[in-house]
Amino acid sequence: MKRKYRTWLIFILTLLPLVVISIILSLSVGEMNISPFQVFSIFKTGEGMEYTILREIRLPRIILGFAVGGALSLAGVILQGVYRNPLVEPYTLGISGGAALGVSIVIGAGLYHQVGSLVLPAAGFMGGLITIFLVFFLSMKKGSLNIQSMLLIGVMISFVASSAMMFVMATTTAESLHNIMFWIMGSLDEPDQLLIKITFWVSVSGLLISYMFVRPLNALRLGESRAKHLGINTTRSVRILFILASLLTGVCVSVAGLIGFVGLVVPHFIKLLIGNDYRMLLAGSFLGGGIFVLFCDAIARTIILPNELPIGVITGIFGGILFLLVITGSLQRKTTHE
Amino acid sequence: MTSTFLDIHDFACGYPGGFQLKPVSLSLKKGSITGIIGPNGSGKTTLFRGIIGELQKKSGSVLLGGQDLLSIHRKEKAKLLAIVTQDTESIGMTVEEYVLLGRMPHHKSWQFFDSAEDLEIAEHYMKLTGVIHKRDKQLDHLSGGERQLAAIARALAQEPTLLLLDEPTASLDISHQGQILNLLQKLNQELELTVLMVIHDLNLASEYCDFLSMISGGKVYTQGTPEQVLNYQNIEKVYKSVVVTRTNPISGKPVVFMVSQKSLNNKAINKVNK
Repeated sequence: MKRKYRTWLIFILTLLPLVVISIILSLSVGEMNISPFQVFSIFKTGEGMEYTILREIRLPRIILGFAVGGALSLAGVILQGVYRNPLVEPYTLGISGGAALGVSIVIGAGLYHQVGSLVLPAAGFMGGLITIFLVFFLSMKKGSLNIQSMLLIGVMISFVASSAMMFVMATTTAESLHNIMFWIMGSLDEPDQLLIKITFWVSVSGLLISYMFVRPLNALRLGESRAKHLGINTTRSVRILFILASLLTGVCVSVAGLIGFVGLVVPHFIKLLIGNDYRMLLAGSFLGGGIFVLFCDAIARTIILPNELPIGVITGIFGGILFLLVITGSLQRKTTHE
Repeated sequence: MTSTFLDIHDFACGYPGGFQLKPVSLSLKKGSITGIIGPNGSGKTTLFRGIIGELQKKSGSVLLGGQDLLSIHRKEKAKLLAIVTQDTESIGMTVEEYVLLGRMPHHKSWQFFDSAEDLEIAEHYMKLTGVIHKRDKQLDHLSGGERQLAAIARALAQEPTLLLLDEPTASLDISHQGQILNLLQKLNQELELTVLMVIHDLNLASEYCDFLSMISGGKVYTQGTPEQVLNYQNIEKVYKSVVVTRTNPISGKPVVFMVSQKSLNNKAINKVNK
């Protein structure tokens, strides 16, 4: 056990510098490259064009990217624990499908041009919220929650929502179609400062709240009934954790679109490094998700300069390949080990 | 202190819209080992799940040391009784982490790390159950018997007064069966731990239990000491199979032998020939 705590300490001590590195890297790369070593001095002087770029464009984007990455990864690791299923990710439960449907309806109906920029995130969030309620109430049976049927209901609602979205896309104009597609692919390019602030605080409070449920999450690794035998109120914990993960996902999706794979790849990677104990897994996934998204965004912004790739493309390709390498690697190690 | 420790009185429970158990009365003395036996589908597991509060109670009461077990707060309950169910799913953690989870009911509200006391208690029960040398091994890499021992260590780390086990020896070889039941007997004697288990094997039930409750068709068929319960009339009636009972020459407990259809036929033929 002491060895485990030492591993945790080493893990955190390597992760924190990585956070700093990813932030400095993200600050320095882009259409105009700024030397990483100059970043600090530019912030110190507090004037000039470079300062404006860093302060007004790159820094807000970094805050958003880190918050979204952390929140998605955290939501993923929470849901994997609640459902005891390593393949569940934040988008499995239909929240993203609902959000995407909400956004496509608004774009398809042309409401998008008439009202301000907040309408798309609001529509996405409403769509996600409606889905959460649907999943929640459809899976309630006589006051108790059936965890496995909840998962199935979420997957089904996700299918229905994506079909409905395709219906909207098939019947709308080419311009709206383009807008919907662009939104779905996900972007961290968010001009609204308020939304960035909201996302950041939701994300951080999500991490803090999740730590209030670290014991139920650890007990749920044994299965629901054994967690109950250990004195855990599983029904209440599962409910709150589900709502927490849903809200985190809903906010991320409505602000940044669909950024795939973060909620699946990062928690898996962290589990391989430090094991299944949620005491470290929650913070590890949060920080890991933030770092991962920042690196991916740095690539997305620079790989086809002066244009920018949707970040979902990079997280998908990069994350997917990394995941395959890690999984096959660890499988091989396991089989040769035995 | 009363001699009756767990008092199940006219207790009935069942699955919503499914199998219903008729009222059962059963009292366990402190520091006794009680076995629930009976054929598949007779209601053993229903009774077990009813006692631990997983099923809706229909009538009666379950009192543990005079307290209504079904209304004790879940965390307090986890300090009083520990449950070992059959382990079939894979759980990805080390033996030590697994055993330490048993300390959870004793954790303080904001306790984040395992206390020195938790570590000590976990270590003690890992030693007692003989899984200490596997403490850093993944649970999935253990054999069935070792996993069962680890599960018992986790239950003991809860420091309960009552231990409930659901078929603790199912699918284990005789050396592990003996290891587990001897351990339970030892704990029972040394810690005055009261044990209630669902058990399939009649010979093991006879050898290790002080008291047996035989369930058939959703109600108690008979209960008493192994000598009172395990005679061939009861067994043939409840299990609908032909058996012969003898006495174990060392322990003096009843032993049950199955008789195959073929030997029965041969015997009949021999009789006719004579």
